[in-house]
Formats: sequence, C-alpha cells, structure tokens
Amino acid sequence: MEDLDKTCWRGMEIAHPARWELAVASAAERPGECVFADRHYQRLAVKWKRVKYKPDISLLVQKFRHKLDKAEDIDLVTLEDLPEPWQGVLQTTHDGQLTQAMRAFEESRTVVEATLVWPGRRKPALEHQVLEGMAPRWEDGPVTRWRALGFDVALDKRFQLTRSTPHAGRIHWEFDADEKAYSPLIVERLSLAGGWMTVPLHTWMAESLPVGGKVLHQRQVLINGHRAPVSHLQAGRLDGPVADAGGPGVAVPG
Amino acid sequence: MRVDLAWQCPVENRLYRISYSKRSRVHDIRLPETLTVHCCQVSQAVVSREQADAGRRKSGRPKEKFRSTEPFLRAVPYANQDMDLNRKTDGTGTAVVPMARPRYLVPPISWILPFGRSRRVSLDQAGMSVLDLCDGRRSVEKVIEIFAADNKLTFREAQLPVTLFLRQLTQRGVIAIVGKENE
Repeated sequence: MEDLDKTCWRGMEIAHPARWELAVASAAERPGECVFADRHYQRLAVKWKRVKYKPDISLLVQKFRHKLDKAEDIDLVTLEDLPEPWQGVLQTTHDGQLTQAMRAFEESRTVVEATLVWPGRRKPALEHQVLEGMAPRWEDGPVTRWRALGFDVALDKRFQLTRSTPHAGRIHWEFDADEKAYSPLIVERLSLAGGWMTVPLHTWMAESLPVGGKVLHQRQVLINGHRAPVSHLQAGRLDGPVADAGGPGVAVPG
Repeated sequence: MRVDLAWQCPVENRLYRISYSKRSRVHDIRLPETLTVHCCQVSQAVVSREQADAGRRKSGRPKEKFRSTEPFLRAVPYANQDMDLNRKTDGTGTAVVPMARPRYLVPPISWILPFGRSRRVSLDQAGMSVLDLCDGRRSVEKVIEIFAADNKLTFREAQLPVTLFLRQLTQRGVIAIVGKENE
C-alpha cells in the first residue's frame, strides 16, 4: 500500500501518490477537471460533472468502448477487477497502458471519469487505491476544503473560487461570496520567503498597501503558532494591488 | 474597508497573506469565521538535499515512449568558460559575458551603433545558486531537484522558475544547454 496525498478541488477529493503533482486544475465556470503529472508523464486525469439525471455508467462505458474499437492498433480489454462500482477499460498500446474508468456518485449526482496512464505496466493495487480515494465532498458540512499546489484552505460554501493564478513561486486564490457586491477574499502563498524577505513583516505589509490606502489600526494575532500582523485599512481602491512590495522570483536584470 | 493579514512559516519557508475587502462603512470588518489556512506541512513530494544529491526517487526512469519531458530534463547545462563571475559577500553576483562583434558592425555603421565588448548579467542569491549547479555534470533534472530540496519546494514548483531562468541565462550567453542522445 502506498501512502497517498490528497487534493481537494472544487468539491472533489482525489487521492494520488505525492510524486504525481497537480498540473492542470479547471477554472470556476468550466466542468471539473484535474490533471496530475510526474516528472516525465501525465499520470492521472480526473473529470467530473454534476448531472440532473441518474446516469447509466454501463451505457457510457459501452459507447466509449465502441468509439475506441474503430481505431485499429489499440488492444482494448474490459476491466473486471476495478473496485465497485467503477467500470472501465484498459487500453494497451506499444507505449504502455491506459486505464479509463467511470463511476457515478448517486447521492451527489456526479459522474466521474478517471484516466490513469501507466508507462510500462499497469499497477492494479495503486489503481485501486487511487480510484477508491476519489469522492465528491459537496454534501459534507458547511465548509468547503481547497487543497492543491501545497495550499490547504477551508472556507464556508458561500465563497466560490473565482480566480486561481499559479505564478512561479506565488499562488494566488481569489474567493468571492457575493457576485453583486465585489468583496474578494484573497489568499496567497509566496515561496522562498527566507531569500527575498529582507524587511520585517509589518514593514513589508505597509509597503504593499493599495493606492490611497490608509491604515486605521494594527494588531498581532497568532496563526498556526506564527505571529501575524493584522492591518485594518481604509482601502483607496478595493481592487488595488495586493502585492507590490516584492516577492519571489529569479530576476535577471541587465 | 479591507483587512490584511500575513505570516511567515519557517517550516515551509513560505509567506502566507490573506486580504479581505468589503464595501462597508464599519471600520472593523472581520475575516470569515470558517476560514482556516493550514501551514507547517511540508508535502511528501518535497525531498531533502541528501535525497536530491543521492539520485533518482521512486518514479524511476521511464522506459516507454509516451510524450515525455525526459529529453529536456536529461540535457546538461554548461557554464560559459569565458565569462567572469564576480561574487559579492551577500551571495549575489554579476556575470560578465564577452560578446562577439557582429559581422555587419563595420564602419560607417559602427560609428553610429555602439558596441559593448561584454554583457553584464546581475544575479540574485537564488540565481547564483542555480548557476553554481550548472557545472557540466549535472542534468537539468538534477539542478531542479537540488534547487527544490534547498528551498523546500516540490519538483513541479521548482521546475517552472528554474526552467525559465535557465532559458534566460541561455539567451544571455551565460550557459549553454546540451541535449543527450537517447541511449
């Protein structure tokens, strides 16, 4: 049994080996999708969609199989050893093997399609673990968990992720609870802090104020055991810059 | 109104920042009570420097022919032998790369267009650490792996900035990347 890492994206929880890292994550208005890759290959692609009807997975797999049967050089086998109620097929090409599996989660009316890429030979034990570790978490309590790209955030369901920008060394997630009144909650994580952070934290925060911003009061709190300065400010522009005081990056001027 | 909050996590060597804005006249706006941001958890995908130096991890060498990033990762970066590297005490430095005179730069064109005999490239600490790893023995994969281990990053987190940086260095003539033929 391999120790698996977990990614939670837009209500879907996906278990995967830690060396398969998230390479693609779907935007807010698109159907759910996550693609994981190791150093050399894409390894796992998961797509999910909430549906109004009760889906017939056997029919979907049959249609999929029928489509692939037309291609000549693909060796296709229906998989009997997938964990219940997953159904799927195994494609063998001269490059390796591909498992394509589907299942429906009836309580949340969600159809999930998973594609696992096996360069070389398929590993059924790992495949079982990955497929069994996949589950929608929409109905689990009032809080949604977002866990991806090393970030782990829990937030009540009113807040929807409206923007995710993974820059080199900086991950920026923007949530919004109300579409009519712009009230963004921005959570950022900046890497290599020890290298570029040369001033005290409160000074750095003061330098990154939005245009026309005015600090009303400041205090200190403890977050996960770390001291965190909190500034309440009258923002000049609500959509003003959030981070202009520098950040990670390997700059090569000249 | 806006509330800003930031903290530095030494375990992860990362800085977290939360910013919540609201159109409100009340001065004391609060972050949502349900909000929790976990830190101090280094991903399993982060390797130590010893592991990075020791060699490949469990993912193994790919044997098959799916579309792969392997050819680039196996390429080896070489530092320019003719450049001068001036190191400063704070870990930063400047690389002075000699420039070849373009053939078209003859009088009278050279009277108008100035020509610098060398190009200066300033490097910060992270840049110098990556350049030091480009010794003609380590592959791009190894450079990324060591950079990731030193900075507590996962391989993929380090891959993008290091690859972009190597490209910039190549464009400026500081290094050359030599691909290896398939075995």
